Amino acid sequence: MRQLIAWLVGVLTMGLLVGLALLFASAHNPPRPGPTPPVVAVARPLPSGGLAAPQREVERGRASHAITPSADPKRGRAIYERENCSTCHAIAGTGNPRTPLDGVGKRLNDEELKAWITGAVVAVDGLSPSIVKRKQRYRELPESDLADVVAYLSHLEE
Amino acid sequence: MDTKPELVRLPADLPRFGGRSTARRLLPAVAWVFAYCLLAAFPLVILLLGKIPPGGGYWWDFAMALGFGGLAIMGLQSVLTARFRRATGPFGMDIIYYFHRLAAVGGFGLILGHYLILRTRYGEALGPVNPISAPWPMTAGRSALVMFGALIVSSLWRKKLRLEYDRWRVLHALLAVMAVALAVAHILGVGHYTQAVWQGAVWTAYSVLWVLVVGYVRLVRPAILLRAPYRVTEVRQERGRTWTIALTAESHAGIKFSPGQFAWLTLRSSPFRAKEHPFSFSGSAADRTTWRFSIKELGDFTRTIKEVRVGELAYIDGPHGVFTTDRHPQAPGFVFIAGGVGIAPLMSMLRTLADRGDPRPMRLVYGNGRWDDVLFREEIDLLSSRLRLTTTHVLQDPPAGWKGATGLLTEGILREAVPEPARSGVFFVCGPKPMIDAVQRALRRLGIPLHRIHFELFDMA
Repeated sequence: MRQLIAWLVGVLTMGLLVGLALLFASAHNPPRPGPTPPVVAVARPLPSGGLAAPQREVERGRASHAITPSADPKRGRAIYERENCSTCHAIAGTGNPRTPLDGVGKRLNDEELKAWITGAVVAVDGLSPSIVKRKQRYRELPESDLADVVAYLSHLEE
Repeated sequence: MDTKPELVRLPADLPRFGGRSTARRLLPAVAWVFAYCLLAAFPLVILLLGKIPPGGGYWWDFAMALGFGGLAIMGLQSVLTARFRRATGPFGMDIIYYFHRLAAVGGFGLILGHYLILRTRYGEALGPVNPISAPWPMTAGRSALVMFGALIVSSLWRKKLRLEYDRWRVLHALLAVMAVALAVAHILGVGHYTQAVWQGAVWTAYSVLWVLVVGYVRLVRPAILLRAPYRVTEVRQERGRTWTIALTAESHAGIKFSPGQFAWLTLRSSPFRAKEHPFSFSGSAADRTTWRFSIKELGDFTRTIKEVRVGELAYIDGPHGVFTTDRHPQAPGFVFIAGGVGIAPLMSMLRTLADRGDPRPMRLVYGNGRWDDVLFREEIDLLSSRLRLTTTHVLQDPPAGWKGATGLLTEGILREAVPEPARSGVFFVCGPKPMIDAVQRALRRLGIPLHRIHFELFDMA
């Protein structure tokens, strides 16, 4: 008898928590009005050099990207992977979906991108202290590495 | 046997659950269940009430919520097993431990769900497994998961793993504290849901609560026990490799218990060392000067009982449990069914009922291996003259010329030993778990409703 009640309370609590978890997921992801945009963004092939792309961005009215001429987006991608950036960010649906970076180059220019990467004062508003602290670490990256990452990020498609 | 309820003389200072109406008994139980659900759900409710940030995808957020829910459940386990008598009283301590096992498996299921969803759908977000290159909050989370898993495995299969009880308890406490601490570190380190000061405060408050409970269990309660010691006055060998230890209170009144209840007993050790073991009282609850436990040599600890010497100090944490005749003052009669040393709490009931001069009809069905090992068989004969008690001995290995029942406590034997009029009584069953399960099934087939069949869920061996 008491075993039955224990099972009942156990199942009730589990049901309550799973129900709340579903509610939590729904509250954070309300259905989008209108046609659903494609879920997975496709990463554009990286430009071989660093020069042609920024010119195209300016032509298309994006944020200006005065990328260092030597900056290499391919290397930037390797650094992005090496530093485990995907534990906090997603690109083309891969990684932590909480802060996707698809099209980030459209919203931020090079200086802003660098400020966000390194947790500079201008960018920390709304970030938790632990994340800001974690980002400080990237200040120790060589300038050329940061430039490569910025070059990589600035070319991400939406 | 007579089925008509008779007027029963009960002592004026019966324990608190005696004679209460069902509604009054149910109310605190319902309130505590509600409090448990509230505490388990609180972290998720708080997150839902706060500012809702843009989602990370349905599965992502579902996985996050499962993690929070799972940790809330796991953290609450320390509160469940802290033996707060007020909270466990309405249910019985054995069912609390039974529920603890159920809830912990459920909580671990939620945490495992949290991990598996992330692993399969967002593997990249977890980063590398290698702790040297992995972000520390992820390593903390993975370690917590492994420790929670180890907690479950070492508890559910302790005997198969040949983990000795005392060692297992130390391991259990260490793993539990470390796993919960690492899981909280994981949440705070990842930081996404604890950005707001008050969100961080919720988890800090929960952590403080858990630390306080652990502090109470490991420090405050042992200190309380230390102030009320008992002294061993007798260590007597009984039949069937069983020993009875008698204790007297050392300059204090001693605890009051109801027959059938149990306590955690500390022998030859300080309460601070947490080397305590649960045993049923076997003596009469009417005797306020001596506390007796009858313990069979079954495990590592119980084999050392015979080494206890008169004059040594002992500590009793109790009484606990709802397996007692005192909860049923309206019962028309009682049926006691025991297997081996399972007679101990039933002896406490029989001795108490005899001391109180209880006039109700009683049946005892007592299963054993050999006649020579039948614990308390001479005293049971004596009690039959003081109580309206009919006893049926059932032996698996009967001596030559045995005319009584033989074999296991089957439906056929119970049908014969407990004839129709006695079946309207309240049933108390105590013995090895397979015996309890078999007897319970047999009684159900004989038409005894579940609510009149009582047994402890402890596997004391």
